[in-house]
Formats: sequence, C-alpha cells, structure tokens
Amino acid sequence: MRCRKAKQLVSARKDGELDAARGVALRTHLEDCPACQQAADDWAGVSAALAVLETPEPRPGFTQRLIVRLPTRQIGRSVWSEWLEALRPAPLAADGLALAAGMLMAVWMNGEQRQPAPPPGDPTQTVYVESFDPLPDGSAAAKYLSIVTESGR
Amino acid sequence: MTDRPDDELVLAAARGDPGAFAFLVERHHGALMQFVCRFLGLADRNQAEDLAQDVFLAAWKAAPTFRPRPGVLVLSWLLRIATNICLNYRRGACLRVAASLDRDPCAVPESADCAEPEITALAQERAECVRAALAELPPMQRAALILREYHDLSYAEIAEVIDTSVSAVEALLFRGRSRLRDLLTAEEFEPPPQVFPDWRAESL
Ligand SMILES: [Zn+2]
Repeated sequence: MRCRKAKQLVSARKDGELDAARGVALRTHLEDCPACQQAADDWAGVSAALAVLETPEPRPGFTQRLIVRLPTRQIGRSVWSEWLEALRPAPLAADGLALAAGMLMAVWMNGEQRQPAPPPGDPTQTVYVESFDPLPDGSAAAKYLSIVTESGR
Repeated sequence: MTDRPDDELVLAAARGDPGAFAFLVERHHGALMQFVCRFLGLADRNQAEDLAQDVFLAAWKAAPTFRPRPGVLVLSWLLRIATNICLNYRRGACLRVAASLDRDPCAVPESADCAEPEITALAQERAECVRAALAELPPMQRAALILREYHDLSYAEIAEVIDTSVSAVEALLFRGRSRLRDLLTAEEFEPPPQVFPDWRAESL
C-alpha cells in the first residue's frame, strides 16, 4: 500500500467508513510507517480547526416569513390528482407511470399558479452545476431543475 | 411540532399544504442556514438567511417531483437543492470571503453576522481564517467536508447530496483535509497560532 492511499484510509477510518479488510491492510502499513501514523493527528487537527466556526441560527420568525412567500398550489380533486393518488401506493412496476404523472402534474400546476416571472438573476434559474457531474435522468435534482426551468418560461 | 416523518411532510407540501411544509422548515432551517453560511463563507447572517429562504422556496416548487426512496434522507434532498443554489449564487455574486483573503476591511464581520454576540475578537479572527481556507477548496471537496464535519452525514448520504459515488466521497474528503491542513499551516496564510491548535499534545 502506498502512503497516499494509507493516509486516505486513515481519513476514512476517522469517519467510521473503513471496512474490515481495508482496516487490516491499513494496520499492516501503519506498523512500519511513522509518517502515516501521523496522518490521524493531521485529520484530527483539521477537525479541531473547523470547530472554531460559529453556528449561525436563523432569526425567530424565519418560518413565518417564508410561508407567506410560498406561491399557492391549486390542486383540488382534479383528474390528475386522483390519478396520482391511485398510483402512489402502487409497486415498482407503476413507478415510471407515477413519475410521468408527477412530471405532468407539476408542469400543469406551474401553469395554474400564474406566478410573476422571477427576477433576472434568480439563483434557481441557472441550470448549471459547477464541476459536478451531469445530473442523472430521473434523479430528484434533475427533476427539480426541469421544474425550475419550466416555471421560468 | 409534529412527529410526522419528513417524507410525509414533503408529500403533503406537494399537495399544497403549507402547514406541513412549515413543520419541515422548522425542522431543517438551522442545518440549511449553517450549510449555506459555511459553503459560501458568509459572514452576513441576513445574506445567509435570504439564501436559506431561497432553498425552501425551491423545495416547495420541487415538492411535486419529490419521490421518497429508502435510505435517502429528505435532508439530503434539501441539502442538494442548497448546494445547487449556492453554486449558482457564487457564479452571480462575488464570494465575500474571497475579499477577506485580501484582508478587505468590508469582509470583517459586523454586528449582524453569523457570529454569536459574545464571540471574542480572537475567535472572530480564527473563524475568518478557517472560512477563508474553506473557500479555497474546490466546491466538491468543500461540500463533502462541510457535510461530514458539521452535518455528520455518512459517505453514502454525502454521495447522494453531491451526486457522486461513495469512493469518490472518500477521496474528496482526503484531498479536502490535506489541502486544509496545508492552508492552515502555511506561513503565507498567517493564521494565529490558535487556528491550528496544538492538537498533537491534546491527542496524546
Ligand atoms: Zn506510509
């Protein structure tokens, strides 16, 4: 095992994420490598340094201030919602259908809301994820972004 | 407070129930505010709170597309939205902490900041150094490190938030910690000695 790898495993061990097999390999390496033995101290030092940051708390009334800003969602007992309700408890086979229904419904609701167009520069409008891998199709974030763009049109 | 589980509250929010959503907000607004503050290195509490509000507004809009999955926390879903908003925010607005690296006087935390009122000047200076060092990390390393160190998320949960694999999270944390250690011990960074405390003595 190379020292770089050993130091990464020490970092994983600190987080309780090291499986038994790799733990054994790491212990063997550490027995003969004082440099890597020090890695545990290094990572503990980083945690100690991070602990100096204060813990900001939202001011009282955060939730109330937010709730009055929520756009209303007019759903009611429509064909769409009944269809969704019927599909929701269905097993995996119906997942694709339920997903499609969810997407359709979300698009439809966004049309219903008649929200004013968001101001330019709205952070949620930019469909861009810096240095992140492309969002996988069907992931919650991909859907989130598709809705956000949809409502901006 | 309600004891209804998070995913039930999101599903109720998807059906247009602001009361259910309020419970969800109450449960997680502290965590999201802290994430936004640390990820962007904000010293201005109002700015962090505005962004945390944006995260919840986006979550409300996205709720109809939310689908609960076993083993995936609603908090991860919220943190994922927060990460996207932070990254887009950073592209549009200049990162405040970047100025603090140049010792811009504007970057000195003022009265209405993230700091607690009784915080000492020394502690503020230490915090500023750590904020600046965190801001130096590439976004993926920074997000992984914050989610691990402050939010106590498992590697699998972090992978869910930043959309990567568990083994990539392990590597990101290792690289992030290495970089932070180098930054905080580098001479040109001039941290007060207390920023990187004598943990060797303490850990014996
Ligand atoms: Zn070694």
